Amino acid sequence: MTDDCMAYGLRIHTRIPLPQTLAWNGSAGRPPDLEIDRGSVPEQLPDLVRHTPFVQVSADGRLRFAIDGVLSVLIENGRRITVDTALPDDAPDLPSMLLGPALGMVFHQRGLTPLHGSCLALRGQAVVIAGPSGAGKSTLAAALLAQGHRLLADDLAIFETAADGRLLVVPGYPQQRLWRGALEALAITPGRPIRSAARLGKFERRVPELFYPEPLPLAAICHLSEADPSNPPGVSLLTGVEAFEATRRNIYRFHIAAHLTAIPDMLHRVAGIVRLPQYRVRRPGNFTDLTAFAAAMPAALGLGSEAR
Amino acid sequence: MKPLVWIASYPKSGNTWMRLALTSLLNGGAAIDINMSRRPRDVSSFNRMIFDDLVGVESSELTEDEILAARPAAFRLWAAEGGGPLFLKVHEAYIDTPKGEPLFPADVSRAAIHIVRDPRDVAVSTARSYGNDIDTVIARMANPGHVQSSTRHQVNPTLPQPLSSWSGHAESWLDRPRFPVLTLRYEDMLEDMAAALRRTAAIIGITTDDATIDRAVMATRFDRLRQQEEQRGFIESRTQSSVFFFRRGIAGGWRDELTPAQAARIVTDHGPMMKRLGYI
Repeated sequence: MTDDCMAYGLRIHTRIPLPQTLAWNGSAGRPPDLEIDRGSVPEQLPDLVRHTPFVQVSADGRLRFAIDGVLSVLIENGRRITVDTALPDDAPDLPSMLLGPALGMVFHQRGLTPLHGSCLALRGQAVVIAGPSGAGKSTLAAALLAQGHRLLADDLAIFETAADGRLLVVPGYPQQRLWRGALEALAITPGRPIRSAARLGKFERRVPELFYPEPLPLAAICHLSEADPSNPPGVSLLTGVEAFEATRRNIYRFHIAAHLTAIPDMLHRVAGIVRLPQYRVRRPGNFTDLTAFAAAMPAALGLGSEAR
Repeated sequence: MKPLVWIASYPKSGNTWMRLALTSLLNGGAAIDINMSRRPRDVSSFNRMIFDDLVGVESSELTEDEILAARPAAFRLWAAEGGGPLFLKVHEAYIDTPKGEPLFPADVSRAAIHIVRDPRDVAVSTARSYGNDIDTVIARMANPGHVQSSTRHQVNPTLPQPLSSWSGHAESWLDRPRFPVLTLRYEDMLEDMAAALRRTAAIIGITTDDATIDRAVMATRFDRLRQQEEQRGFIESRTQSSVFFFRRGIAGGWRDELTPAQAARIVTDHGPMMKRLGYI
């Protein structure tokens, strides 16, 4: 028996509860891949190669992530996260920051290359909906869940290569994070706000019954943006340099990652991903049209009508 | 010279027109394609994706105050990337962050071009463009706490922008910046865009000549911009589909679009600043 939990295939031993995740169901003998603990985090890392209001990256590859007055987090070797905070264990900020930004950096330190995107199981294959914050990834994902598809991951897409060489998407954990406007439009009951501070209209939505817990072969990446008057809603194929560049831009926090892992290695992984179909997806700007848009998506992506 | 040039205005006041004219001017008075995908030196200061890339965190996880507090440092990181002057569209008022420092840091700011427009025309333009009720817009323009693209309901590709009231916005840019500010009235730009561009070039410190300025003025005449939008749409437009971004391009349009009570309410709300700017 173990209390360890699981996200993106990692066995996580954590002193801060992460009830959003699943219990570890792999081999009991495998040591944890990631340890999360409370502890003190230095104000300043030595030999900084990148320094922003929130992030310090040290020349030795350690990363400090902090929000003033909320928490600071030290991330080392892709194996250890130390959290320095006055927040109680059940504060929503902790899983929000640990399973989002911190885990993204853990994967970069581990030499995997996460993409910024939601991932869905569509007719037996994985489709990543990638794009910057505000593009509408989670909302489109919620609209696809309402069509009976399943969630693989909410914000980070992590890949592994199967024995037969196919690229697989690894399941994350059964939670979405959605904005108030989307929740209301899709008539979804929100969970907790993602931050203790009021005034941020983003909420947890646990979806254990809509989660797909096994790796699935990647079918396509959808690069999402909102339609505008000169670019109406629709799906179009991206090829060549355009496809490569779209995927590179959706590497999770590329500018930080560039200090954590070798850029040619990241680009090599992008090249592997863009062998699969890449689409530019312009979603409708209003919720009314989004349901029909989501319903038409699998066919527009050339996915058959077999089992979901 | 310091790299950041702020093109600052309350929304719907001529900001886009000025940026297109500046783009033409910097390209020797070349014709403008309003949908040109690459205007790398002309971007919104409140672009969420750029902010996230600069600071290395998803701003959609952050509160409005946390974002605001980090923006001066993000502007410094942006400025440090080099490449010459950066023209940044700004709708925010000139305010201090929750940490008490100016949102727009003087140490990397070359100048601001501050554009104002008769608030009665701003109200009409805003209401028509976004399909809002005019009275709602008028009330918003009087609200000193108004935040455009607030994250209390949803997330946008743009960061939250504290606008203040229309008067508060104008006053903040007229009186507070610690770097040179050229205030231009939209109405004067309509009257004589060449003169506005000459003054703009002077304060930014770019060398140009009258012939180039005349070509830039011609390239960004309202009828040309409108014609392009009619043919191919406008990528920056967030207006309702039936309404053009380049809608009328005139001064005083409020006279046939506001009721007398609505016009009077705006004068009541903003009388002193309207007087200061010569609108009443």
